[in-house]
Amino acid sequence: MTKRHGSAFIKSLKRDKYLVMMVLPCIAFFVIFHFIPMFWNIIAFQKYNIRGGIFESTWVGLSNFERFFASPNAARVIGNTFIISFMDLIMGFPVPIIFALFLSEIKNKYVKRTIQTFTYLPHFISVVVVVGMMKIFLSPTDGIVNNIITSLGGSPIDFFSTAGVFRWLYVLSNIWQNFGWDSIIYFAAVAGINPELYEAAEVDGAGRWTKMFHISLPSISPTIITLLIMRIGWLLSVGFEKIILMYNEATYQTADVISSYVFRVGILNADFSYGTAIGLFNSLVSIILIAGANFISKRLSDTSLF
Amino acid sequence: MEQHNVNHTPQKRPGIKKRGRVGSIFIYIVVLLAGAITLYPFIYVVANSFSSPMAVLRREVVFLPVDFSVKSYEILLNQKDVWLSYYNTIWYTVVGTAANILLTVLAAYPLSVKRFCLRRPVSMMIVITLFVSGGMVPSYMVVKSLGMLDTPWALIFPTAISAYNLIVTRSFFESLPQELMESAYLDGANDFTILFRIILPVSKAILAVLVIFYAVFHWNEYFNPMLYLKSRELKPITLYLRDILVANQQSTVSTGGNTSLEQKFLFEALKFSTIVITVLPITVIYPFFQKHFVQGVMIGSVKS
Repeated sequence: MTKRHGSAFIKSLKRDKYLVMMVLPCIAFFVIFHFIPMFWNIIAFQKYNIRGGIFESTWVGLSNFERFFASPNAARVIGNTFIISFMDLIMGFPVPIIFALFLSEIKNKYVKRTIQTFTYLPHFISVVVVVGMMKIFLSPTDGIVNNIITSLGGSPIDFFSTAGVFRWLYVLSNIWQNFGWDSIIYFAAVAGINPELYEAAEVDGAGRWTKMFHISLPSISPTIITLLIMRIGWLLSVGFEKIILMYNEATYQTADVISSYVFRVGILNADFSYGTAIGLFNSLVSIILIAGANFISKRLSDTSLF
Repeated sequence: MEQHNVNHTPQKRPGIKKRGRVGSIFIYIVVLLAGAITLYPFIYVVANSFSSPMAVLRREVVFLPVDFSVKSYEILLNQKDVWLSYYNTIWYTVVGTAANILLTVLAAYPLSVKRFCLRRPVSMMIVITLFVSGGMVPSYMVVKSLGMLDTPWALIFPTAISAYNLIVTRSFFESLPQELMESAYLDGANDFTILFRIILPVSKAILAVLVIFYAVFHWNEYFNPMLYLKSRELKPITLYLRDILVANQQSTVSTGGNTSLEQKFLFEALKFSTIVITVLPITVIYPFFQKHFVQGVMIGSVKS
């Protein structure tokens, strides 16, 4: 039985040998750069040393994890990861929806297209440039924002060294960079609504806002829910690439997240096993969040990601 | 009650129209404001790059260039490091994108062919990587053990295929009329012929999406170069920008100023022209791809 099944499999591989050739580099890529790194996670349970390599390093059980949870950094980085992600979600999620609803109301197609072109632009800009521009604008000595503050009689603020404003800078600049791009999908959803619904509402005397809240918004709500679930699933993958450009020792307290901490200890300090252990913990929490978000969405809306 | 009596008489209409007009104005203001907020930082940067360094240092430039000058670009021309890293960025973008497109298209086609026995297992494998990743340190260890550290290949191979783009491309191929491929297959055409002669010519939309997504990724990438590259001569423009903009390292550039004040203001001026040359290519190119974005984003969302 299995033999026959096996030979049928081999037969079809032979028949589709060109397809196999095409897909082989892809398989090699995913094995080497995605699955082998997963396997490398076992060094989280070792005291890895470069000379011994992965097969001859000493096994240390869960001690790397214990070390992480015993350090004062654990509570700080886990807390920051959740707070920054939630702030980003709560403030960043509604903006593109509102923007798409408003933009859909503009009938002049040139204005509409021009605004779209402008608002998509920041999405295509490197995060280095975005953070660099923030530094220029918010410079404590000669930034334009502090110039305004001082001319109004206030005293200049060193934004990038003030722990209290770090998360706001992070979240607001994220919104600035992405609201236009994120609105594309909602905008397309609004454009796909049957115009007869609006015509019927107009006959009933519905105004612009009534139509927006009672037709547009409910019609795009499946899109909104799907994207919300995806965002919750990805909650812990905060943009640490931006964080490590923005933070410094003065703001670690509010800025340091799990992945930026992994970068510092695991790469910069070359404490490979310890860094891997923390990264593994982060992945496990992410998987739980994704599975949880998927479970809830199945229950609530019959939409599931997988 | 009133509703029943509404017949569209001319007297009733002005009221509705007026209310509508206030709403229109409000919406226009919000939308134009959103456009202005996104655009202003770019205007500010461009205006500063064309102002005299003294005006830049005094922060006199707000909207339009002050004391129009190309000094900022003259200093830029003399920065060997800028041009070397700019060249590197172009190289990474061109080679990286070409490799990305080739591998993505080559893999997406077999995964869209229903009769292919590896379709399900390989697709499964790819979807898993969307949700589970090896993590930063293990990925670094793999690149290190392959001997790619501090070589250009560290920016090409580890990011050779994006699982998301691959899935989008596969979905696009699946949405094409299957009779085309089937009849060619029955006529004895091999799969390479089918892919390159029949499918790709009708897939310009998805190719456009892939080009812009991958190229922008490489152009803007800074984390992997920071992680994998040590040599100065390999660094892309983003790392140069990080040094002068974010870390504010004046020592990395030689502006040719005589006094420390002059050096300081030439350095400030240089920041703006460097941002302009980094952002400009994308700004010029991406509007041409704009009409394909919606399609690209939509296919992706429907599938995932």
